[in-house]
Amino acid sequence: MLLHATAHTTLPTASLQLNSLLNLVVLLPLAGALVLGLGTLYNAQNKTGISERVVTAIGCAGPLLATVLAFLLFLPMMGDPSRVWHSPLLTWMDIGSFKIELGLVMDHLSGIMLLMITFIGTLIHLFSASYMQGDRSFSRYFAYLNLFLGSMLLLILSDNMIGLFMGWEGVGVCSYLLIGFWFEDAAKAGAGTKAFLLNRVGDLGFILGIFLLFQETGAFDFAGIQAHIGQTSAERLPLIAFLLLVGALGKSAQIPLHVWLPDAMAGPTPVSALIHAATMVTAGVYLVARLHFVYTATPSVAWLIILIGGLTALMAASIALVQNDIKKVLAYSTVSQLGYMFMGVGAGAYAAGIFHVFTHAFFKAALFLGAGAIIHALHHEQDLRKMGGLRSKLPITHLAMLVSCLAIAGIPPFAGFFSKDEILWSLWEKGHFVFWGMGLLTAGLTAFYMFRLYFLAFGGTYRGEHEAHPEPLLMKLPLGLLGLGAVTVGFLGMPATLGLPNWFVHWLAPLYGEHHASDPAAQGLSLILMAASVLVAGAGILLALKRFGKITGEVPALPENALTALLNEKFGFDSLYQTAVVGPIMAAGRFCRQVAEPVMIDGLIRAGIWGYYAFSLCLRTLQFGQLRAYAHYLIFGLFILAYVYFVLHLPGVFQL
Amino acid sequence: MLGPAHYLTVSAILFFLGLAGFISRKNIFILFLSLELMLNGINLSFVAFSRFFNQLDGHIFVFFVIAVAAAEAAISLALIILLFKNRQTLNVDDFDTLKG
Repeated sequence: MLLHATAHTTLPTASLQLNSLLNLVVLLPLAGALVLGLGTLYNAQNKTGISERVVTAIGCAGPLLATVLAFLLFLPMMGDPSRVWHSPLLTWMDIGSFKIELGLVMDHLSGIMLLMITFIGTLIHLFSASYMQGDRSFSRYFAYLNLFLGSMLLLILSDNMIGLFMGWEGVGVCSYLLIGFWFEDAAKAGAGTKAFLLNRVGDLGFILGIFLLFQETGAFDFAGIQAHIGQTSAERLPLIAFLLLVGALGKSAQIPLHVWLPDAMAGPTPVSALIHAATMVTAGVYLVARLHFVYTATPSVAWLIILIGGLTALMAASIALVQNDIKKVLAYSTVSQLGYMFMGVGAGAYAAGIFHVFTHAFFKAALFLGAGAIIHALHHEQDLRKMGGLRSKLPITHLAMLVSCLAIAGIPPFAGFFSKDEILWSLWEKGHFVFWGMGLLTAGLTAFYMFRLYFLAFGGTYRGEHEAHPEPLLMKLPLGLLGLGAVTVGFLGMPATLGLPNWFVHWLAPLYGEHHASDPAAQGLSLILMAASVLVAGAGILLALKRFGKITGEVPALPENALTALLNEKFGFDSLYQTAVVGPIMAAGRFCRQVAEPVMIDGLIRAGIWGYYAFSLCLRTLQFGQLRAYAHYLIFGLFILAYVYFVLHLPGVFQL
Repeated sequence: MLGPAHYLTVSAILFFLGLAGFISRKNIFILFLSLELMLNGINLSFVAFSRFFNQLDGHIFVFFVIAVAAAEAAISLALIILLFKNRQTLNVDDFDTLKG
C-alpha cells in the first residue's frame, strides 16, 4: 500500500465495456418499489388488497434478480481483471461547458460493493418477510425497502457525482421513511426526522463539495475528476476534501453527526440491519474510497479522517458498554466499527477500509437479524436484562450470533479479525501509533460489550416473562448464510505481510495499487501486533465471561460514578445539540409563532383593514340618502369649480 | 338699448331662483318645477349669446334642451305618479333608502 501513488496512473476507464445489464441491476429494485407502492395505494382503497404472499414475492424478486445479475456481471470481471462494465445513460444537461452525463459503471470497487449490497440486501428482504408478518403496512414496508436498495445501488454504481448524489439523497429519504415506519408513535417519527435532518447537515457540505470540485476540475464524472485533480489549486483542494468529508460524516454517522444512528433503532429491526450493514452508513466510507485521489492529495484532511474515525470508534465503543437495549448496543458497535473504517481509509489503506466494510456487512447483518429473531421470539422485548438462556430456544440464531460476535471481536479465523487487523497494521505501518493504540483499545472494548450482549442474551437462565416461540425457516436461512459469511469472508483478505494471498487487496489493486512487503522484519512485527490485538480481544471476552457468563438472577446494576454517568449521557452530544441547536431554533420558532406572525404580519394587515374601515365610515356619513343634500354637494362643487376658474383665468376678480 | 348683460342678468336670476327652489322645497313636484326653471334660465343665456354673436348654434342647442326637457317631463311625471302610488307622499326627505 505504500505504492498507492503509482496507482493513479492506471485510470479505471482503461478497458470500459458497454453492458446494459447494469441498468437492470438498478432498475429491478426500483421497479419493485414502484409496483409495491401502487399496490399499497390499491390496498389503502380496497378492503381485500394484495396478499402478503404476493407482496413478498414481488418485493424479494427485484433484489434476488439483481443479485443474480450482479454475480453474472462479476464473474467475467474475475476472469479478466482489466474489464470494467460501463453503461452510459443520458446527457441530463448540456449548457456550454456545464455538462452532466449520467451513467453507471461497475469497476472493481463498485463491483465488490454491489455483490455485498445485493446479496445481504436480499437476505434481509427474506428475513423481513417473516419478521414483518401481520404488520398492516406490509406492502408499504417492502416498497420502501426496495426503494432503499435501488437508491443504494444507484449510489455505488454511478460513474459521476450527480448520480451518486441522487442515490445518496434517495438513501436519506428511505432511511427517514423506514426509521419512522411506525409513525403513529411520535418518538419513532421523531427519530426518522432526526436522521433526516442530521443527514441534511452532511449533504449541505457534500453538495458544496461537488460544486467546488466541478469548478476546479470541470468534470462531474470520477474519471474526469481524477484526470484533472492535478490542476486544482492547492488552497481549494483541502476545502473541497473537507466539505465532501462532512457529507461522508453525516451518512456514516461519525462525530459530530453520529447521533442519528442510535436513534435509528426506532425502525423495524431488519431495517436496522439494512442501514447498518449493507447500505447507507457504508456510503460515507465508499465516498472516501471512491474519491481516494482527492484524499491522497490532501494529507491534512486525511489525518482529520483518522482522528474523527479514532475518536468515534473509541467513544461509541465505550457508550456501548452501558447500553441495555440489544439494538442500541449493536447501533453503537456499528458507529464504532465505522470509525475503524474511517481510520483505515484516512490512513490511505482504502482496500483495508473497504475490506472492513465488506466483512462488517456480513457479521453486522447477522447480528442485527439475530437481534431481530430474538425480539421476534420474545414478543418485542429488547431489554437485555429480560433475556438470557436463549441458547436452547433459538439454536440457529445463537450459532449465527456467536460466530458474528467472535468475528466482530476480532478472533481468528473469523472475518472481523482479518479486516480489523489489516486496518490496525496499516495504522502502525503509516506511523499513527496513537491511533493504533486507540484502535487496539476499541478492539478490547468491542470484545467486552459484544460478549456482554452474547452472555446476557444466551447465557444464564431466562429472566423474561414472555414465552419464547421458535424461529421460522425464513429467519433461519438468512441467519445461517450470514453466519457462514462471518466465518468465511475473512479469508478473502489474509494478511499479505505474512506472505499469505490477499485476494481483496489484489482485486482492488487497479484502483489503489498493491504493496508486497514480506521482509522478515515486517513479518515479525505484524505477528506481534496481531498477537496483541487477539490478546486484548481475548481479555475482553474473558472479562465479559467472568462478569456476565452465568447470571441466574437479576443483572447487577452498574456502579454509579462519574464515568458511567458520562457514558449514560453518551458524552453529552445529544444534550449539547439540544441546548446549542435545537433550543435556539425552537426559541426562534416560538418567537415567530407568538410575536412575529401575530404582531408583525397579521398586525400590519389588520391595521390596514381597520384603517380602510374607519375611512369608509367617514365617507358613509356623507351619503345619507337625502336628495336635497346631494343637491347641496353639487352646488358646493360648482362654486369651487367657478372659484378655481376665476382665480386661474381672471386674476384680481376676488381682490377687494 | 338692451344689451346681453340684461338678458344674462335675467337668465342668472331665473337659474338661481330655480336653484333656491330646488334646495329649499321638499315637494318633489316643486323640485321638478324648479329644475325646469333652471333649464329655462340656461336656455335664455344660450339664446342671448346666440343673438349677440349672430350664430345659430345657441338656438339649436336650446331646441335640443327643450326637446329633452319635454321628454324628461313626460317620464318624470309618470315616475312621480308611481312614486306617490307606492309611498303615499311626495316629500323628498322621506325618499332616503339609498344611503350608505
